[in-house]
Amino acid sequence: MNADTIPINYVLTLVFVLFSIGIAGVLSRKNVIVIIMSVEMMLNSVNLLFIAFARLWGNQNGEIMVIFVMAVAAAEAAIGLALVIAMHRNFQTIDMTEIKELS
Amino acid sequence: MELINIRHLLFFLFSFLMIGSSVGVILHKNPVKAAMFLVVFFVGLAATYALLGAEVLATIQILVYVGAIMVLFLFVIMLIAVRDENFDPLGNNIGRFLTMLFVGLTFAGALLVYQSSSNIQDEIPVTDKYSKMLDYAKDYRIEGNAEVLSVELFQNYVLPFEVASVILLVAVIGSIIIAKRNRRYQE
Repeated sequence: MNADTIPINYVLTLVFVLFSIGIAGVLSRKNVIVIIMSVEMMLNSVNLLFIAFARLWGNQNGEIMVIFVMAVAAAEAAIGLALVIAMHRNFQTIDMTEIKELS
Repeated sequence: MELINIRHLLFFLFSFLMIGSSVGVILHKNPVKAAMFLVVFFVGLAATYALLGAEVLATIQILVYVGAIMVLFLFVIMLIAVRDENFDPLGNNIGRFLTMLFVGLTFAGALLVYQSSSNIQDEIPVTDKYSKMLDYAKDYRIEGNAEVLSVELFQNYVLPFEVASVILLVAVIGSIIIAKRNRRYQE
């Protein structure tokens, strides 16, 4: 139990738990906005694992990857919320289980 | 009997904060309160980044997620006036319950297999100097996280950096076009 280190085991367990909670949110909710929030949680938990292994192996490529993941996640959130607005305008609902037609 | 390790204590504190707030996100009926739980999640995650020694990414996390993305979420929630979602309790829908049980057991099994098979006893050296880890840090005599990240980003990753900016531009234009009112079909 060195005071200057954190075991990778703790971080790994935390990331597994958070990613599982994100998947449970995607599978169990009907509101599209909450589904997008759950996807954001999953992306962020993977970022935490990237940073932990970048520090563990002394290689900063993982932290660079986190920056790109953040950029793509921001783009994904903007597009997804625009789709939510279009869906609400055309169907007057944002419930996933009520959208049954493609047009 | 050793003293309480302050780093481990903070890590457990932020871990429970993040797990509790993420459970709040997926279980709360009101989307506005779910978004507030998501803010707590992002702040806890930024604190964990700083605890692992990535101060620059912790700052970027606060700026991008709490500052920009959550404002976008709340703007959309207010714009379309979301009502409370009356979703079934988890026990009522047996197929959904079995799916989530399967996912949880799969991830728990993967975690157990990984922990039993690999060299997982490693410890993250969160206070090591960069000059001990990286060759160019020793050559250039740089120590800070921002300096190391900028050297990596603008020497080895210039092309992906530019591609990321193009992706953001495409996302801006695409979201405007998607969310714009289409006059031709609205007559």
